[in-house]
Amino acid sequence: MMTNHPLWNFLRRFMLLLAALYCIFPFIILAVYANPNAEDFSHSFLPKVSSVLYSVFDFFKNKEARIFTNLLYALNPLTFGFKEGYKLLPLILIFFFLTALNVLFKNIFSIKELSNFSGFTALFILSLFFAGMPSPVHALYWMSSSFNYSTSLILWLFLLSQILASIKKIKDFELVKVKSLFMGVILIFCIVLSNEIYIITLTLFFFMLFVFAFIRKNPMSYFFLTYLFVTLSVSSIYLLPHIIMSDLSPVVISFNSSIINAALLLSVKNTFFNLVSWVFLNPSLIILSLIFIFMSSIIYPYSSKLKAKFVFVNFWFYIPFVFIILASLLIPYYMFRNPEHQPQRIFNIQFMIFLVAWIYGLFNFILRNFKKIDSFALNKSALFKLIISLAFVVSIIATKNIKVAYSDIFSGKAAAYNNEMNKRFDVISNAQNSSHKTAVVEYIENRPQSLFFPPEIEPERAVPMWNEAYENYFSLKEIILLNHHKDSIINKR
Amino acid sequence: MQRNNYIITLVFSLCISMSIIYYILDFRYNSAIYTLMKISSLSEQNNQEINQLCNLESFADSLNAMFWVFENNPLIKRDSAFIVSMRQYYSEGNFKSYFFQLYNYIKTIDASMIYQIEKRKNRLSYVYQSYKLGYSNIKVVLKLIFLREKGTYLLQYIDKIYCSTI
Repeated sequence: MMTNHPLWNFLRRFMLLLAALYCIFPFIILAVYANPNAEDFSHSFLPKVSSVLYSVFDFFKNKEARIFTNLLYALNPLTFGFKEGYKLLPLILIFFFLTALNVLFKNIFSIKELSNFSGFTALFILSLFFAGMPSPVHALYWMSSSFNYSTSLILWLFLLSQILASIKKIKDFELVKVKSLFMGVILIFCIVLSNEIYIITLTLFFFMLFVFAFIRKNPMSYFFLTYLFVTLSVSSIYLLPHIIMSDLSPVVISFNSSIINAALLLSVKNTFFNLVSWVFLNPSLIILSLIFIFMSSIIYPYSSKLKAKFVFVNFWFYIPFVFIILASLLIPYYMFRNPEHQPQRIFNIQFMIFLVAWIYGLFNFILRNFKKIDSFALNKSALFKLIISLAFVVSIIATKNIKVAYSDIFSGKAAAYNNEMNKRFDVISNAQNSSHKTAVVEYIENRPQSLFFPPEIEPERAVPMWNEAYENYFSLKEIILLNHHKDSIINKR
Repeated sequence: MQRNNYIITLVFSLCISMSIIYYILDFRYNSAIYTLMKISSLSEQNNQEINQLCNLESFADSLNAMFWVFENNPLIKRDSAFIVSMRQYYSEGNFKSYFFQLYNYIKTIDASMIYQIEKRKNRLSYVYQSYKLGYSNIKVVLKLIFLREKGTYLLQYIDKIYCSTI
């Protein structure tokens, strides 16, 4: 009797909720200390002095067809001189992550009775994402990166939920309304125009789904074919400037076979190692999956209502499908950039899509194989579930990101960084009011790992770009970095 | 009914992408701004192309008539060597060097373009370009006139130069 006391159930729920909040909380607090860096200023300068539309369509000069990202840059708080608004951006991103995940899981669990369940799952997936993501600074606190990659990730989650909702309608022989199809089209436009890495991914995604549906003579093939054509038509926007305006710039993309081979190889290799580490070296995910399996008795009464909303025949199609989608995200990066560099921000995207795919696969695994896992999962005592939950809490609290985030807050490093940046902005505003218009700023010594990313003022103008970003944005004649601290830091090491 | 919805969606998405593609094509084949970008990317040795894209003599005449805007404005960094050489090139009739000297000058004073817009009327095209001057809050606005000939634009002359605050 002791092992099935209702207190254990209450404790388990309370503890799990507390652990999820514990993982998300430091990232909300760290937003208070977030400050723009040089690249954010360089993105905000043109829309500040010019018009929003001109700065968006200025991409012809730079040949960057990221129209949606450019629009976000043109409308960011720094454009309007609202420096404190920068601290709101991570909070807005976290809010939208939660909303998008909640909507997605509502569509995966797809019945009213499980709607509370979707909210909790969203919370846990977000906490798992924060705990395990390869680089928090890229995902949340550095606008130039998060407006490219995190916003598009949020749009991806909305697109997936829209697709799942449409699939459910088609399976129930209902009409997919033009309104919801238009919603999907606009999402595809925003995703593809926020970053070129999605061209290959979305094309492969819809193509493979179309082939699966077509082989099974499913009416869903129309749906996927439509979205495939939509993706291709948006992608053509990227190619056109490169083809018709190649005479303006000497840099033309050359499709060299060895480069493509190297990019493919690197993408597959890195995706494989990422997946191995996220599955096998990520105990919190495994334990959460176990908790899901042990809780499957909650899902089972509704399984007749849920049917199986799975697009695939079996997992032997699903697993390579997810792998190809994840690997395709890296191909454009390795094709056009330095292959030695590790693209942390794309790993972030891969990690989130992997988590969602994992939960979707697990949910369908439970629905299909309930009879097999029945004897294993059911009749486990409440105390046993509590112990498993305790293991989850311990494993997720011990992850690197959470530890680093808390240590940045409690060691005072984040606050010190914020103070240093405020001091720098005071110096700059004094220089703006003076006649010589020269600001002498100090080296930032406190560089919290979860907040700070390098684009910074250089002492000897080794990369003059970042000094100019400050000078342009603040209308300064010159910005000089005092160099004397750098020696002392090197000595400390 | 179901199939109709998909067709409407496809047409909708094609309309959006075609409008963006139309903008790009129009920019490439039917805009004077593109001609300006091309001129600034040319080198001084490219005689034939420069003559195709720019009416050097009338450009130099109009700029020389308005050069006092540069000379008398206290906010613009004045480089006496630059002005002397400009005057010399003009009197010599060396319009090509005059023209390229101006472009180099724009690069050296940290002028960055912050806005440009094009208005087309019959065979003429009016391009307004705004440059922000270095660290000041001053912008210089140029109004350039282009003439369309045989499908390409030809830079004719500078209609206006004026300074204003941002």
